[in-house]
Amino acid sequence: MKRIIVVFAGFFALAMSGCSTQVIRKDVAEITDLSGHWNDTDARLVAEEMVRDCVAGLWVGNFNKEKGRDPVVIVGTVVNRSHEHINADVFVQDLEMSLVNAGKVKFVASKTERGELREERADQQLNAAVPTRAQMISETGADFMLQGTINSVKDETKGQYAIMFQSNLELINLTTNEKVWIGQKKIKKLVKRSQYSL
Amino acid sequence: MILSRVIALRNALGRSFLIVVATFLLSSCAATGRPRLQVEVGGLVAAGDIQGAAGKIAAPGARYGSGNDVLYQLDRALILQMVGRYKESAVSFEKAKARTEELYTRSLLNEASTWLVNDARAPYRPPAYERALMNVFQSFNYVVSGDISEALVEARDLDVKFPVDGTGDIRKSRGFEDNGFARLVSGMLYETAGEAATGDALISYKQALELYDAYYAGQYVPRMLQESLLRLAAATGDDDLSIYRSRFSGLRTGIPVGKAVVYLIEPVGFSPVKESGSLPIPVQMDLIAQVSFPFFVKRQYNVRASRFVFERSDGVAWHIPTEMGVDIEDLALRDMEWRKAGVIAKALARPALKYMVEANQKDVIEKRSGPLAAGLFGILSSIYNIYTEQADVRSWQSLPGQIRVARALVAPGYYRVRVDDLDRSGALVGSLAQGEREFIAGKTYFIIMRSAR
Repeated sequence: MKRIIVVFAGFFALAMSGCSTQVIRKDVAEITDLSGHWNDTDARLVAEEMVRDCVAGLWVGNFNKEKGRDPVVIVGTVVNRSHEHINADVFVQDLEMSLVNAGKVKFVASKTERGELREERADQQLNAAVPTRAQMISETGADFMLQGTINSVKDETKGQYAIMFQSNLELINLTTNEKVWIGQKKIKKLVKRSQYSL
Repeated sequence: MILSRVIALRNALGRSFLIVVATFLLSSCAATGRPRLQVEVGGLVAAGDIQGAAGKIAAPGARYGSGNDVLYQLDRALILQMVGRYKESAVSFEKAKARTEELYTRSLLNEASTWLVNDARAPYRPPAYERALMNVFQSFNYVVSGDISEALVEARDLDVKFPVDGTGDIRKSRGFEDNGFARLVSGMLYETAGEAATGDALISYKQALELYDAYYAGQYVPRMLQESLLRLAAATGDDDLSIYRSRFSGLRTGIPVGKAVVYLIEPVGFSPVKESGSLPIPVQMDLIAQVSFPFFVKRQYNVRASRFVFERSDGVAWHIPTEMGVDIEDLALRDMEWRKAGVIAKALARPALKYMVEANQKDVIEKRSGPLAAGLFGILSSIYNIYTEQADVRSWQSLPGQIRVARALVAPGYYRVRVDDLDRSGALVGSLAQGEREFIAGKTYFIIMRSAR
């Protein structure tokens, strides 16, 4: 009888352990690939590498020589052309952060952010003390816009698939429409899935 | 009194007593029919109370039980879409897709339990046609919000999941994923995305034609697809234009200038429901086995045709007849027919396996405790067999019976939009109105109205 109780207790403990929730805190820099889908690590790594490549391009030096100042860049739209719903905002924010941290270019707020800023500035003209008011018509205009796409190719066979994400970025001169820099970064993942588990 | 009888039974059956108790406990955990919440929600949808159904299925804590996560998310997604809660619907579709992907790996323990108890012990895995429809309905969530970029993700995902290789012989390996409608929708989406995606649109339309031809043996191609193929093949100078011209003669092919393009999508009626068919088989004097198998039963709905009506404020109206995009009812029946051999083989093998185990155990009991105990075990085993041997009757029940479509070219302006539902004889059975809205030249609109009558 004792043996039966022990066996039942064992099964009960096993069943209960399956129901518990476990939370493990991870360093955001740590690579966590769970499913093979585009994730935060991909967005960060691609943004860092592409911006590094971008600001190392000849166009920065040429612009400095011609204008005598750092170029001003705005991040435009990154279009998702992959087969996954990707939150392009995360990628765009990573691009913006990398651009600011690179220190070689100036960087201005995006179209949607500008709307809120303009509203606040207009409000200050009515309500803020004169010496503290932000100046109207003093925005810094961008010289270049960074635009891009994210594409994907998936090759699948039974039990495994290879997936490639290709990010393309282009830096375009806002005055002349010239493309002064084109960058591409590919990420390839091989995902193996067993057909059976215990 | 009861306790003393249980003890007597335990003594008579010996160790087998524990086996009997364990198997009964195991079977009691088994889902043996449709989840109760699904039945309740399905009843509300059938009665036309979609808001009530949405409230019930989206209530905090609402679930279909373990193993039915995908099914719950699918019903939740579609019902929320019907009531215009597109963002929540999109979240549910994504959850359903992710969980379906996870279910690629099958648990051996779970599979074993489907042989000992019934198929409903395994988590619900949507068949190919339901997986394709997930992409289709998810794309509707995005197009009605004007987000064509995210809608196109669904078209690409469909291409990755179900590649069409141009041989027209794809079903031998993967069943019925759709009858071409999903590719027709993909084509519409690519065309809406603009000139840069015209090539992708034409490829999708060609794939749709291939699938419609394979499904209907060349006897049915929606007029909308015929026109789209002619239009895009002419625009791109495609080699197949002459083939399309000879096959689909007398249709308009012009690219609309100064008009708004309005795609009208009307999910109609109800998909069939699975029922369980059972056949008791006496295998010995005191042992009865049962064979159970699922079969689809069509649900009644009256709408068999419809027309979209655009009415100007001065009373002038245009009627656009819809046509059948996909017959989900037929798709489900054909899919079941295609998988029937495997389902029946397993339904026959399972009682045989159970019988072998039970007959063996019965012999042991007879030798040890005599014929009375063995007979008692036989009765209990038969009850267990009949109780547990039930077909897996789960399916995505909020699906419509059909999806009807139309494409209208509308002069810019304000119109009151409605859909008139017609029965088999062409008589009006009811209307769904969307109110007045503006259509702008050069823009594309998607209007989705669900008819549940």
